[in-house]
Amino acid sequence: MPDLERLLRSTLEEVGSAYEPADEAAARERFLKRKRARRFRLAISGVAVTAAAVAAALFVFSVPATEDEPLPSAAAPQPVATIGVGDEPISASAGDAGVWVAEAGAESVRLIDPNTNEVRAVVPVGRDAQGAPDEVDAHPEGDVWIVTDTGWVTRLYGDPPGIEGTSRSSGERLVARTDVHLDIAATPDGMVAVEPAAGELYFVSDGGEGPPNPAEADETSTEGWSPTDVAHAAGRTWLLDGSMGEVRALSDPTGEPVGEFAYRLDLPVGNAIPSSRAAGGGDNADLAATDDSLWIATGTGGSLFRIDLTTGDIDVEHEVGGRYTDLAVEGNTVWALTGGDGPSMLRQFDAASGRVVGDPLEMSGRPTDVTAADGSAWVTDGDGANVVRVDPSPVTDEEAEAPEDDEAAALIDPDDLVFAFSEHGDIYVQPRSGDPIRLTDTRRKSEVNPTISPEGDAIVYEVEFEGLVRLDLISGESQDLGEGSNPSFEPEGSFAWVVNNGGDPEILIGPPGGAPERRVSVGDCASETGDTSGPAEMCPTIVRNLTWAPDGSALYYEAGWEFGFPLYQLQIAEGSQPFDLGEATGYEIGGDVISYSAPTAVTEDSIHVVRSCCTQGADQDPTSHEFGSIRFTEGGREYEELFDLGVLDAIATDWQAVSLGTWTLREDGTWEESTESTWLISDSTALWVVDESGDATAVRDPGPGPGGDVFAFKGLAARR
Amino acid sequence: MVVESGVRLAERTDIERERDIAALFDRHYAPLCRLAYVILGDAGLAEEIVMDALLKTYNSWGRIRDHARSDAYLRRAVVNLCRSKIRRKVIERRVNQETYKRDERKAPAWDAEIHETKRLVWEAVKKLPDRQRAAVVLRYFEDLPEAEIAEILDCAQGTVKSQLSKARAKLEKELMPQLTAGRGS
Repeated sequence: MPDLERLLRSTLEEVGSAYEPADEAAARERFLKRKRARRFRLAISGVAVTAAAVAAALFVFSVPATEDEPLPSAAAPQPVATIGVGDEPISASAGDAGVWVAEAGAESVRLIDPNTNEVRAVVPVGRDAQGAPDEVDAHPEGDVWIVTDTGWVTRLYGDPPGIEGTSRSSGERLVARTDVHLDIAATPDGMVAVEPAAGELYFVSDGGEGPPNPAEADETSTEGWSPTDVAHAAGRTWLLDGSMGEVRALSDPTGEPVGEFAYRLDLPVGNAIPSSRAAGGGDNADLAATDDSLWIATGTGGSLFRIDLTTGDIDVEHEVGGRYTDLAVEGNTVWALTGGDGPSMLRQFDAASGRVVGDPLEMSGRPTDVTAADGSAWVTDGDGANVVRVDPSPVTDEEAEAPEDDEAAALIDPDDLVFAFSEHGDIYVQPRSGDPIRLTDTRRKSEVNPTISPEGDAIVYEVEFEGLVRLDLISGESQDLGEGSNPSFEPEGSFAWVVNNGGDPEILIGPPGGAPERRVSVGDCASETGDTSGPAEMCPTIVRNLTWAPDGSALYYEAGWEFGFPLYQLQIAEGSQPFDLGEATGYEIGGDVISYSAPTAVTEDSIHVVRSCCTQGADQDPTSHEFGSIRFTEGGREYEELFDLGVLDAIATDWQAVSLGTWTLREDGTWEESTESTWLISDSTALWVVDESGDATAVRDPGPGPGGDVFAFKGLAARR
Repeated sequence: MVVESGVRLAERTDIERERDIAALFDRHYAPLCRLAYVILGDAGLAEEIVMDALLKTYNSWGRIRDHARSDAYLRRAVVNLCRSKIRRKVIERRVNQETYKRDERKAPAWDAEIHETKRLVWEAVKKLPDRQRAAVVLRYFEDLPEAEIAEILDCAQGTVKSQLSKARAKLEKELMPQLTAGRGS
């Protein structure tokens, strides 16, 4: 064996020197931008939370039927005409002159006149080496653009485009490779194309009276970002990164290369949207926009999102099924054509409310694409060589109104409430019998850390990065409580919560939604332990898991920075300062690190905790966990192990626990009160009930979340 | 007058902070990216983590007592974020192998001419548990003394010593058969 240390040095040096960060100047610019944005967000957070939190709550409770319940309609969408076209129609797009259809088999595009439902013109496109037409896109104020499956681009111009024979340009290859698929969007002044396989983005100007010149196909840097779909609407060019589920808009729709993205929205990665393919097969997704909403259909998984462009939130989600979806928009109507698994379906949505209209229409043949024009949907049938025109279901104004408030019923009877928890960013309450009841359902937002009011008639939870919301379980009404996190009700009804305070967190105590009666700084090291010798960077920047002593005399919490969250005790008596419970017998025993987490106050002088022990062995995760009780005595503290939790696939610092009092889970799945104490513990991936003998029963295994998130639980609360 | 001077002071503090942070970026971005890359073996992730560490530092600027030591603060943030990322990746892979996909397109390919031994060594380093891996990189790449590594990893110096010892033992065990086989052939 050669000298290992020397080998390590030379290897790591070589690895390090072989790597150079990509575009440091761009990274610097990005850093400065994010820094400015963060400062701005901090400055406006007090305002932003109000609208955002209220909007979230309104969605959940005033529009409960967005998922599946259709708007009542006088009729389902109905086919009204079938128009014969060339072989293998694969794509359709509505322009000013009518509906354009690209035909892969016939190597042509065809114009259908919506007034007569007849073909008005046929233009040969893409012959021989140019491949077959793959996609057509027309802009009402611009030209008609066609790309072939080998990357050749054709532009039809004039009035109407392509009809007079002299107004066709063709023969320029946009990308220098074969077998590519481009997703294109016509703009008023040109065309934008993305090449999903390579993540490239091209802008093509209209080229005047001549053909599109390859020199005008400007490739624009996407900074490592990989656009897979493009759409043009509402004066913007929208881009979708299918692999990461992100949306951006270009600030300038003119076709000039623009590097500045004006808008970005992260979708859950679990809903990653595969690259768009021409419809009719394979994984497919689509993007469409109205003036005030953006619609995104995922391919595999079949979800349809609406993003409210005024708030930037995903406010509606529909499960539409299928392996591919094509979208089309006209006025207030959104069409979604799905297929791939089972029959192809055409669904109609009301763009303003986001709700489905009427029943879906089953399409025969092999539908490949949909476009919207002249008040109808136009669906290409790849097998039948025809286009089917479908008229929408009418929706009356009365029908489109939101449900009446007086329909609201109690979300849960307080006497029936056992505990609350947050799972994958939504809040649930567990009744005595039956499955947990989901109280929030917002994909974009993450609602965590519920706490139950002493009467059990309300919960307060945290909308991550925004603030606190109080939800009345009787009326269903929600109230924005402003900035804060980690809320915790005191048994007598008082309340504690945490504010970030620019990275210098404070615990506030006072009535929910009211002015704080006390502020306790936890970011100042000196005020916690009196020890100012330690490095300042060790001062806590995160405070979590607040728990009150039953008599309200003390508050316990975890506070730390990235790793290591010591426990603190705050005596509520006026003037007392937080006391670090972890400082005593050292966090290191023989080199092993001991940590306490998940405090649950049980009496005025004792708390239950999860004690975890790191090992110096192969695995860096804690290898032993136990549930124990710390009792505070005049002489210090006493630790008693209650039971060994063994080794679980969990990160100790992400544990949470609450005392369930004497609630016990029976074999029939119902909860009842007994004489034994029980605890509810989450280890990030499962929810456990633990009894006095240490037996743990998993009561909830949520699996991976929508974003592939395995940290399912963030917050537990029990009736006290 | 009091208010005015307070405003001026705040403005000056802000300006100084902006200037210091920008300088911090210029001085440390590339070396920190390199450190994160050597720990993680993923260029995209490394750059993302350094960006996060810089933003964290920016947010905590007011609480850092000794700005002259901000480089140590940054390095610590990067290492901690790397370790956090490794642990999370391990768990995500374990639980969610189907859906977790990390884009590693930026990872530079090994030059065919780089000696096979070094390739094997780096592969073995990447298999080490996160704390051992961080300790090895800080010791043999950053060339830091054990005391400084202990400060960064937030543990005792003895722990660093044992972590390095165990890491070396593990690497020897992993590499011995391969290197011996390579020589034999």
